[in-house]
Amino acid sequence: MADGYAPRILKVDLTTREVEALDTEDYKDWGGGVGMGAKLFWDLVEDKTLTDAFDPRNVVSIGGGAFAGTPVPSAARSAVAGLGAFGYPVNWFTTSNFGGRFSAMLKLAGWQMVTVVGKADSPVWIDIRDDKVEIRDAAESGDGLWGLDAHETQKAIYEIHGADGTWRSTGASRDSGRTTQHPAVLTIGLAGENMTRIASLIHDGGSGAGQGGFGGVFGSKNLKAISVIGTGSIEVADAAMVLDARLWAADQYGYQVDGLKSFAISNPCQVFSGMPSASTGFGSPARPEGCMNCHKSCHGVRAASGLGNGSHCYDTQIWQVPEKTATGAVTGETQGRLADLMQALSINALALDTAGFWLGKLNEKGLVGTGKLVDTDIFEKYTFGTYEWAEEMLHRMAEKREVGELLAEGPARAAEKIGRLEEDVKSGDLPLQEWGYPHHYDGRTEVAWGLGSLLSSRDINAHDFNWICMWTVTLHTLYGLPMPVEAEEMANIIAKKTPPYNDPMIIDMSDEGMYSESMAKLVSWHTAYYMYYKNSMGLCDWAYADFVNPYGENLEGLTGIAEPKYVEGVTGRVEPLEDGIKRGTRIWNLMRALYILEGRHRDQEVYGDYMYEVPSMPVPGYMLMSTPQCVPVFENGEWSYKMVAGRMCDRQKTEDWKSIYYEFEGWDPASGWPRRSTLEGMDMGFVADELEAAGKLGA
Amino acid sequence: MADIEKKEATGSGVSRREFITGVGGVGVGAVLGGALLKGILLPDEVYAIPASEGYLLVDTKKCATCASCMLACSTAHYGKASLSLSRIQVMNDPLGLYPNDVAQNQCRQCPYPACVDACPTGANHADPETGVRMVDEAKCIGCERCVQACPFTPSRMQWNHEDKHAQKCDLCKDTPYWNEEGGPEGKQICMQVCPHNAISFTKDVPVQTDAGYDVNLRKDDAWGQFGFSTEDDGMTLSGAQGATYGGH
Amino acid sequence: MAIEALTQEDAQRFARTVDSAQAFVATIMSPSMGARAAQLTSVEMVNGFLQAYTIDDFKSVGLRLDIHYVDFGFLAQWLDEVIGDAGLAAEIRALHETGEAFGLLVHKVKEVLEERLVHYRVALGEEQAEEQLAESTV
Repeated sequence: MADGYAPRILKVDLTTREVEALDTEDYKDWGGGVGMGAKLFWDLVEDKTLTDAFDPRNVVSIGGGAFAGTPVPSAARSAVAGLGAFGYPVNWFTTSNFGGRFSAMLKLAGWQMVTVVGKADSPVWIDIRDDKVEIRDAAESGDGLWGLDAHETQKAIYEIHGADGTWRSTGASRDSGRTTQHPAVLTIGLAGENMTRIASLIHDGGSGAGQGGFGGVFGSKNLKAISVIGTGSIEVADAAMVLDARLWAADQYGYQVDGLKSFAISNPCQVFSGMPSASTGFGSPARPEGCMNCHKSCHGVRAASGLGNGSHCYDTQIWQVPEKTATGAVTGETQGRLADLMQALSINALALDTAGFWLGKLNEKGLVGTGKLVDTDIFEKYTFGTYEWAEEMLHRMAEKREVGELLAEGPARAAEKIGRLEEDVKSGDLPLQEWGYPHHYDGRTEVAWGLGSLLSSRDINAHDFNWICMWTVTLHTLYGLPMPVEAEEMANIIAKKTPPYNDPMIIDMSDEGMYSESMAKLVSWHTAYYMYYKNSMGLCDWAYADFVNPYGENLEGLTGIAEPKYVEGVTGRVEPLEDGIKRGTRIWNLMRALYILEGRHRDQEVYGDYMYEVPSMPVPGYMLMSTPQCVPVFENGEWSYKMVAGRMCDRQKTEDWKSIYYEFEGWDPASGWPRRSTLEGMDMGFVADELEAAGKLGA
Repeated sequence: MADIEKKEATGSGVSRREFITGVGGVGVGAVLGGALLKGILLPDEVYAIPASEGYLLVDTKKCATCASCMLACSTAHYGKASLSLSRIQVMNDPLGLYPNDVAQNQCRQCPYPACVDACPTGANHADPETGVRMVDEAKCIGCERCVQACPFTPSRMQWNHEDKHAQKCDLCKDTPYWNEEGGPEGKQICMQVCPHNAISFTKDVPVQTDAGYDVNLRKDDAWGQFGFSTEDDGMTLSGAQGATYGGH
Repeated sequence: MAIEALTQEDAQRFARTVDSAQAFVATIMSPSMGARAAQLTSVEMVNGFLQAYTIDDFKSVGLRLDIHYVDFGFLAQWLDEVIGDAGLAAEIRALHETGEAFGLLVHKVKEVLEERLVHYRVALGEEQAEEQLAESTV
């Protein structure tokens, strides 16, 4: 029966320059994306103690899930999985994610995933045209892509394809397949070619896999780009059901342009029902841009050139504070142009953000300048906070030139090199919350985000509870506006939608709740949900999970109802949400096993010191991420929303909570390693065997 | 030979307009076969192709290039999702600039359908009841004359390379995989699925220019509230539109 | 707030830019990137940082706003301990202690700050007193 999957997985060995088709059937249990990527890594990497992302034995897999390229709304995300160069102190197995068209186009070409092993002996790019795959010369001697920025590379590939918006054939006969579309390209710019640890993978104008450091991994393999054009089709189990599900979801829960409903504050509080916005235009006339089969359209395409076309979100926000400080104003001109430049060079936005922040602090201490601890002339030659400073810094990082050579290592390694790591992380001048990742959301207040990241290998960047439990509550509180739902109702709605636990206490983020077993359930459920439905099946973080929705009956969102509909329509599988959670838990355990073989132990799962030392509120003399976050709490026998800013994590209580969590997951609390019984219960005896052989099975 | 309907002239007293719009209850879209019109006097036999009773209109300044319409079109007609098999083709240059980066290429249901005229077997025909120009796949011999005949680029007649027949937009008259009535009296899946109402439907024959089919659909809903231009040129911003720096 | 007998010396001190070690720390909250600390080093900068959004701004549903947040209790403390303008600090503290929501207070705080900034300018001889007082009450 058709099930939404493409039949083959493309394996490209860059060392031997051989391509091989693996059978998707062997990997379907893992959903797609991250799940398949983890299993492919497991299968193809013999020595799983490998922790050098730049080693040719690193296996990087890219692709989406069963939903990509079907009418399922907001479901065509592409995942990247493999050892990531950014992680500190270890290049753990990690993941990244990007939007746009890539995973859908890959499936239309007949490939569910593309997995890259080895290293080419000279720059190459992979040209996929339906079932024809060619490893092409990317150097000057060939197609001349190496050395181009990420946008120029894509333009060059479009030209090679003759993509001009008219019909063109992908083969010799009229039945070979034809398309009007531009190829979907995933590429790197200079920062990736030069193997920085801060490089991203870029697709189209501004979709990007920013975190993880995969741009440098491509560079280490001499891989410039993967391009795919697919003229085929994706068969689903029940097409009528899929269409009905799409229309039902979008019409009942999505925004209605001719009948808007919203909370008092709509953005970012509304998830599935969020609306497009001309804010993405930076004041230039614009249209919205949506990823494949999305019902929302978060991105934008502007009229003005070089203004972050297609860029959105983090990439367009990071230079606000420095610019405001330096010039008194935040301009769309600066923010948009910087976003564009970051994409062109393929640099993770957080790299510039953190570099600016941290160097700014060191500069105030007199530690930055020619001949000083951070030996650079950038502050002397350019005014910090201006576009020019940031532009120069980005170029230096991409080229590993001058101070860029230090910062290209990522903030943790850079700080370690100059002997500032411990002190600056402790004070929060360098707010690396976990694994060398800059602070994104604050684990002192928004507990589940922090803990989930700590147990994983990176900033989780999964907003499922963030949108509704933190943003919605905080914004409505700050502006004295009526809450969409009161705390108890929110807890009950979320309980209903989080099987198998169905425990309203999971969103209790009080001082007690943050260390409770309910919090363990929350982290477990959250991880499983986003690992399966989002990272593997392809649902988008900006549309799901949808718990509270202004269009929904009783303001309930579509999570819990929609996901099983999509799964059934596409794959034919009747899979209630709790079964999807089980799949997610399985993927999570496989990833956990990879971390453990790479050396993970509970003793390493410790936040950056500032999380325990510094309160999360602005206090004169402290310079830190100040977060006036309001969250649901259950105190004195009742629910309410409370501002928990000013909180720190208690070191011992966090350690005690970790034990509760490990036990909850069926892992040995002494080490954080899964037990054989847990793994066998998920049909993962093969994982238990390998952990046992390594002496790393939980007791 | 075109699938045509012979009509007896109704004699004097019938204006050309009435003839064109009202003969036999079917609007006549064109007069073919070399018959000459002299005022209101018509020859005894008139070869005519009825006009379509419906037309898709698009707004390329509203389109988000999400391809939802394309994937839904192919799914509704063939039970499989495909960009290549979609009868509406939306293209954009991913690195292009608004407003010139998008093309929404819907079939125009031409009053004079060159594709119908070109078909030697009558596979491509105007539906007798609704005038919708559509393909009877069983009769298609794969000559692709219809594809060549379409005056637009890219051709709105397409070769379905998987199922080996010509195809075109039928206003969802025949959608075996969608549980809704289509055709001019029913619904069109592309329009239903478009998140922003960037596709609309009309029964009136559009002005036969590009501008007749690519229209401003941004005035009568919340579009302006989102900060986008509601002007015809898509560029003029007023009031709060475009006022904020945001990026997100 | 009634204009005190603000000496030129006082005005110079209160209107100064402090160094970053003594900066007031505020927050930019953005749905796209979480929270970022903002260092505000003068009263003028604090005023410029605060945005007087209204419910209508939020109702304009397409606009994705960033929130520039200041804790007014801490602001009062900073104005006292670092800037030294006890009168201004007291006004801000009084507003903070009403317990009203941030979004409702921010307009009132801005009014107070703007008025005080005029006082500074007048005391520094940078403005004509009557003209500016008239403007500041608009």
